[in-house]
Amino acid sequence: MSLLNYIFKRIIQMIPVIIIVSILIFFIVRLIPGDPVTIRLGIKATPQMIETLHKEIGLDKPIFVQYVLFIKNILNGNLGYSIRYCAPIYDLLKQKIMVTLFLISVSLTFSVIISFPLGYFAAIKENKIQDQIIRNGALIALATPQFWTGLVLMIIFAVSMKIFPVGGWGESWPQRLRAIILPAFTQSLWTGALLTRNLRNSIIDILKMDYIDFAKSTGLSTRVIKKRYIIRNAMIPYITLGGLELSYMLGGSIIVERVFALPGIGALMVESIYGRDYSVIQGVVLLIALLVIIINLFTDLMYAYLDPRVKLE
Amino acid sequence: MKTKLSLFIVLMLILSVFATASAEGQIAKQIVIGRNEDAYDLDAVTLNENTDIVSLKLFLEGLVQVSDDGKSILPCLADSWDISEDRLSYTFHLKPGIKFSDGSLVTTEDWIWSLNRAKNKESMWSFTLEALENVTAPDDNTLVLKLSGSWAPLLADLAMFNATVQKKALFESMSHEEYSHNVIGTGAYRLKEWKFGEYMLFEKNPYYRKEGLPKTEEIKFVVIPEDTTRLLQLKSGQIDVATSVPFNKMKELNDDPRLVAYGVPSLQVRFLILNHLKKPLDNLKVRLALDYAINKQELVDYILFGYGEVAASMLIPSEAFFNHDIKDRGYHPDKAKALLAEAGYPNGIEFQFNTTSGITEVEQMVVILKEQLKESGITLNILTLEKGLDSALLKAGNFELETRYWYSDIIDPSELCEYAFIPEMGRCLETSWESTDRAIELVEQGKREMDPAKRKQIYLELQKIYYDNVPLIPVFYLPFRVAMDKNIEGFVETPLGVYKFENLVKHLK
Repeated sequence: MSLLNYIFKRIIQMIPVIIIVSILIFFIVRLIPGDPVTIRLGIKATPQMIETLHKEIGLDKPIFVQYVLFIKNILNGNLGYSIRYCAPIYDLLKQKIMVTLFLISVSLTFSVIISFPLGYFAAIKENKIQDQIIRNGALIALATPQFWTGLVLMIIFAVSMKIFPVGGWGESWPQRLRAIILPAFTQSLWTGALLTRNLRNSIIDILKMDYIDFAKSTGLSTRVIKKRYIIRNAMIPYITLGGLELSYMLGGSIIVERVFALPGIGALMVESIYGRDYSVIQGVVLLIALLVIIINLFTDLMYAYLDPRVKLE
Repeated sequence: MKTKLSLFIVLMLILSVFATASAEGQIAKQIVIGRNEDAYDLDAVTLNENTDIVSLKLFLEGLVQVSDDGKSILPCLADSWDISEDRLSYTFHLKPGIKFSDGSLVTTEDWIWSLNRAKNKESMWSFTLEALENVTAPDDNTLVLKLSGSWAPLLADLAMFNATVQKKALFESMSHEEYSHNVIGTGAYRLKEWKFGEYMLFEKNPYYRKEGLPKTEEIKFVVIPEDTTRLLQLKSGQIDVATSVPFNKMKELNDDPRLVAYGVPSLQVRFLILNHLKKPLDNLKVRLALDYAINKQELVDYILFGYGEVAASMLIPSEAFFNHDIKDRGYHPDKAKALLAEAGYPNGIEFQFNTTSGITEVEQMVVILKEQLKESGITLNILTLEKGLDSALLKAGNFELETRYWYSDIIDPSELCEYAFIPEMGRCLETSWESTDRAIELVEQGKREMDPAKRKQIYLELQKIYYDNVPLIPVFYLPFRVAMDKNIEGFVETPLGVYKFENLVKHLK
């Protein structure tokens, strides 16, 4: 199947997934106790005010009618309105998704930069002191809460050494590049640790394979064997895990965003849950679902590139 | 050669003195203030959050304003006012030539529209202008407010944020949602930029009526939800002022030679909510027992680190007509046990205490209370809930004990007494006590009585009724907490939590 056909087919397959996610999030969020209008208007609101706002935002209609209207609006490109921020969801998401995407992209880059050399080195030095240091280092990174790591890094590099700002997003892209380093590094430690261990284990298994011995016996250089046989084969589980972690980072950025005062969708999501801002919650979840599907598609395309035996169908 | 060198050195010395002098005289163009949450709605009539109020008071003004110390009412956009003999008509003489921050003149039509909108029953703040019958303007600089009956707190109500003047034409030119982010006023600043959840940037209003003010070009409120991050940003100089400083960080900040942290007197009181709809909290003896079982001074010492004071009355000490004769019952576990025995609980009693997660002061308070109440045979089962769920259960009356704080929006006791004693209003503020006929009658009298001496007697009696019946248990009065760079001068926050930044500056070294 050609690449374009495959991508088109995957896009079509995306549709039922998005529909199922929309149904789940629409109904689940309404199961949580707490009325969005009462929370929005506060304790001083009279019953008439509450009823008026219920009508304005359609919460007085039967729930299935609300769902149909929700889908109809989405198909018309209208993600809805935040009753808390009094602003279109599209505007809110547009502003904040860039922050989160930037954060997770830089985090993943750091994770790869950390894990690649460490994972490879640990594998070729299997069970030696270097391997043990790297493995235990990864374990410590996995065990340490992001909240604590972020604060410690902030105190050392931002407050004491003043190399980076103490959180915040900045107003220009040079400022943002500086501001993203510490939060991205904090977030990358967990993923970097997992990828390090994954790569190490994969390479150790590959090194034991017969075809590696055969490749050596044919006189191929170490560099060629490394590139063509070892790294390439180790990439498949590495990319699988990387893709999963990227998806996890999308939803899990809230801790880092909060510690570093980054105005991303994690922070928006938490505020919206507190305020029962249904439209925002639905919008954020659908957006995350869409991005996760795209990440999975990209991961599958990478498989096909790395392993010719994998067919796109 | 030597002469030239000497001349050069002297010249350099002279220049350096001027350079130093000019640097010393300079102030920062922008002051950055870190706060823990963003505003949402800047429409003075529909807003709901404290951050909304604090933000809009930078640029919205009314006929009158509260003094910096919160004790008196001063002229604002009205120069003066006359009150008719029968107290049913207030004539305000407006300052001429006042402009909105877009350069257009404020007209009496804007005033009439703003005040009518504020008293409209669709506004949740309309109760403050309950007695306002109509507003007319006999000429361009005069407003006449006619009342349906005498209304003692009128001036205090007119100083409130909902009675500020807004531009009618702007409101009518856009949807309400757009308007709530684009409000303009007559104050020292105007909103320049707002990135939701990130920051609000205010710039000097070029049409502000006071020449040479405000002194600082820009004020930026940045949202930093995490307390530790906000304080670290202050310590590193990334922000100049931090608000909502945790009590346990005040000393640490004061130990920093660059910074100063202090409590701003407020009209806030934290209280325990007792659900009278759940037996046996409808029994006065049980409620009294709870009051005797709490060591409030210990809570002030360990939670507020001495920055607050023990509360006995539901009004705040700095408020008018505070009853200084009402004292805290004190910590008496023996009396608490005796009262519980009389109420039919000789072996003690158990309550569920619902709290919201993430509020440090509350989390600490419930832990200490649990230990204190144990001495009186009262077992507290603490249930920590997510904010929205906690509010939902509170609203539904599905709790036994809870804690909240309230603070007055005006410098008159009438508002809090309305909430404390009028059942319909009280349910808005989590009170389920049915009040007494005498109290309800006194609340109404307090609003209508114009003689200060008679008003005082009314409010003294109301506080006594509240104290005797224990509908809620006031625990402590707490201040606003702020920390800032020592080079900051002119930071004013009134006891109502309103900022006045006309003279706010940061001196550059």
